[in-house]
Order: sequence, then C-alpha cells, then structure tokens
Amino acid sequence: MNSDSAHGSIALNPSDCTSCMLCVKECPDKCIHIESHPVVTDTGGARPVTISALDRFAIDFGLCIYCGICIDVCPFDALAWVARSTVPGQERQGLIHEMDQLASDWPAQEPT
Amino acid sequence: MTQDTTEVVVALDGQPVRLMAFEAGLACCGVEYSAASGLLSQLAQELPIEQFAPLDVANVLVISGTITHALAPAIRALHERLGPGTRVLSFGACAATGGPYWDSYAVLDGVDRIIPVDVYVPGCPPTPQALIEGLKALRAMA
Repeated sequence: MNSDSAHGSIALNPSDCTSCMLCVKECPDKCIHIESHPVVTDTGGARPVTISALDRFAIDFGLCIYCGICIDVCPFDALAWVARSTVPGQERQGLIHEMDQLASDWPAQEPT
Repeated sequence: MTQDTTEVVVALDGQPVRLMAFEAGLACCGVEYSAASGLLSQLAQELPIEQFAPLDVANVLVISGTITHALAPAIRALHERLGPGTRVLSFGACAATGGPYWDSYAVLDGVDRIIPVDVYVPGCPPTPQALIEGLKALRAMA
C-alpha cells in the first residue's frame, strides 16, 4: 500500500475550465455535471465574442471509476489527480463534490 | 457470492480497532476488499485472528461489488439475519451507485435501495487507504 498513490481523487481548477464539455462527453459512466451560461462581450472587433461561463461543475464520486479519462481529455489541464483519497461519505449525496470542494484540492500534485 | 467473516485488527491513529466484517463479495471489488483488509491487518502488525468466524458475530457488513437484481433478495436477507445493530459499509462504485453499470437492466443502482448504508467508500476499486478512511468514519459513528 502506498498512501502517496497518485490516483486518490480528482481536483478542478475552475478558472481554467471553459465549459467545453469534453470531460462530460468522454466520461464512461457520466459522473461529471457541468452547467454554464453564455456571456457575450463586444471587444470592438468584427463581431461580439461569446464565451461559456461556468456555473456548476460537479463530480459524482459515487459513480466515478477513477479512470482519469477526464484528466486526459481536458484541453486546458483544468483537471488533475490528487494523491489523497476521496473522503468516504456517510450519505450518498455527500459523494457528489461540487465546484468549491473540487477546487479546494487544487493545486494538485505535479504530473509525473 | 463469496461469504466469509474476517476479523481484522487495524491501527487507526495509533489505537488498535477490532472489526468483524462479514464480506459479501459480489464482483471484482470482493477480491479487492480481501486484499485491502489483509493489508490492513499486516499494517497493524497483527494477522487476522479468525478467518471464518460465525455469522452472528459480524458487526460490519461490507458490500463489495456489483449488485444484480437477481442477488438483491439475498443481500436483503443477509442484512436481516445480521440484525439491526450491524453497520453497512459500501465498498466501491458499484455498491454505492451501480458504478459503470448503473443503467444496466440487470444491475441495482446502489445497495442503499435495499438496505441502509452507513459509509460509502468511493473508488473502482477503493484503495486500502480509502478503506482505512471508511473504517475511521464507521468508528466515529460508534
């Protein structure tokens, strides 16, 4: 047993997430939930720029199989492994970690 | 379904804790739980005292693995037989939610649909470290 095992849990850096939904689409058991809304800014260019502002990012660790595909597919490295194991929940809902909780584990360990 | 009761002595925060865990191993997590619990007793510098203890002394029911609808009545009967004081530890994604099989016609999407669960240990499979965290949570409830 190695308590420094790299695949303990998954953390999020919300400021790097663009709500592109790649992780949601690639997750094998659909345990990632993202909600966002479009923000239109007129920068004076040819047309206004539309970006997706992140409203909700949640991982259901009751469903998660810790495969790491979400981490691999994220184009902006907004997801990363955390060495510490996900804390066991005494309630089913407690295993659904929302954005604040996922962000509190960031910065994660450096990729190896 | 494998069924055996294992006495595991673990050291949590420097204090030895004795657990009688009746293990209901339904799928791959059953093997993983056996490996993890064996490792725990090694860590505590003590080997399991009694590998196959009588069913009526178990105080923790460990549900590890995918629960099919076909086996759900057996799990419910097992929980009734162990009595109301038995703590239930859900080990792994399948026991908690059905895991990757949650939308299968044959799979129960979480053991808490049939019996109350005290602690959910997440993972696929959970690491021995995660099991220790789950046991700590169970002890905190005692």
